[in-house]
Amino acid sequence: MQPQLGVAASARGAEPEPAVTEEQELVQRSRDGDLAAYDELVRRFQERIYATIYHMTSNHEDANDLAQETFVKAYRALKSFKGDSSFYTWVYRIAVNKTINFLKQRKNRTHMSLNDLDFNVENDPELVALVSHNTPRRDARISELQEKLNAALQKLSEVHRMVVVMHDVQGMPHEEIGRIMGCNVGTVRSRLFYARQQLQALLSDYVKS
Amino acid sequence: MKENPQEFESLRRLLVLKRHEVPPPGYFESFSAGVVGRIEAEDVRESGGLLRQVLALFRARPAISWSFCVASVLVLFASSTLFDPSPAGVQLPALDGNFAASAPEPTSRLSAASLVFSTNYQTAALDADPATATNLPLRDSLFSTPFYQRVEPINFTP
Repeated sequence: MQPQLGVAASARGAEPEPAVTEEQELVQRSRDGDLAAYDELVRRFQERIYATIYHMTSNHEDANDLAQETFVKAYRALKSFKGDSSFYTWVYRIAVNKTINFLKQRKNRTHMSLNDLDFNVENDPELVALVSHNTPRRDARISELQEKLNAALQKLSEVHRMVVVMHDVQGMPHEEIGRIMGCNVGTVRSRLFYARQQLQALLSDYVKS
Repeated sequence: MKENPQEFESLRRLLVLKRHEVPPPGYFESFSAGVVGRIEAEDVRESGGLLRQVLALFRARPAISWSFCVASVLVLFASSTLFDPSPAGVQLPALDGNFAASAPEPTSRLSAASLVFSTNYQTAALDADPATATNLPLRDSLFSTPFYQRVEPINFTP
C-alpha cells in the first residue's frame, strides 16, 4: 500500500498540470457514461480511498464494501460534480461521509479484521526503534502492537480518528484535510492535538510521553 | 494551538505501523473491475433482463464466468460420451426393390454412413420397377438430400 498522497492531485498552480487535465478529461468521459474512463479514475485513487476507510474501520471486509460503494455513489453523482475541487477531494469527501455514517450505525459492535503487515515492516527504521532486536518473539510483538494500536484508534470519536488517519498515517496536509472534512485548518489542528493526546494515554505502555 | 514536534514523536512512530497493513495480494488488481461490475449490475437491475444480469455478473466476477465455462465444457463432454449420437438407421425410401436391405452389411459406423450417403437413389429407384411406376424427376429437399417421389396412375372413370 502506498499511502503517500500525490501532491499533484491537490496542487493549484497557475496552469493546470497535465495530470490534472487528464483527470478532468477522464471525469468528463465518465460523466458521458464511459465506464472504461471511470475504471481508470478508480484505479488512480482506489488505494488511498481504501486505506483511509480501512484505517477508520479496522476491518477489511467493511472497507472493501464501503470503498466500492463510495466509487459507485461517486459515479452516480458525477453529474453534480462541478469541478470546484479536484475529483480526488470530492470522492474523498464522499468516502469520509459514508464511513462516518457507517461507523455511527455500527457503534458498539466493532469487529476488527486486520490486514496482514507487509514484509517491509521488519526493516522500517521507525518501527525498529520501537521493537527491540533482541526480543525472540519480535513478530508476535509487532502483531500485538498492531492490535493495540487499532483498538486504541477505535476508541476515538469518528472525526478525531479521521484526522489522525489522514494526517499521521496517510501524511495529508492540514489544508487538504480541512477541504475534505469541510472545516478550517484551526479545527483540524485542534482535533489532531486532542486525538493524539487521547491515543498517547491509551497507548501509554507502548509510547513514551 | 501550539505544537511541540517532539511531543508526540513516539506516537507518530507507532502510527507508522498502520502503513504496513496491506490487503490480500492482488486485491487492487480486481477492485476497479468490481466497481464497474456493480455499476453495470445496478443499471441492468433498473432496466431488467435476466440474461444481461448474468452477463454483468460474469464481468464483475471473472471466477464465476470461468467456472460456468468449465462446467459447460464438462457437460458437453459428458453428454457426448454417454449418449451415442449416431442415428439408429436411415430408412431409405424405396420402391419395390429393397436395395437398402440388399446393401452389404456395414463393417463400421463410418462405412455405413458412407454407404448411405453415397448411394445413388435416383438410379436405384428408376431401375426398381420401370414398368409400373412413373417416376418424376427428383427434387432436392430443404437439406439438399435427394428426395424421391413416386406417382402411380389413378383411374378416374366411375
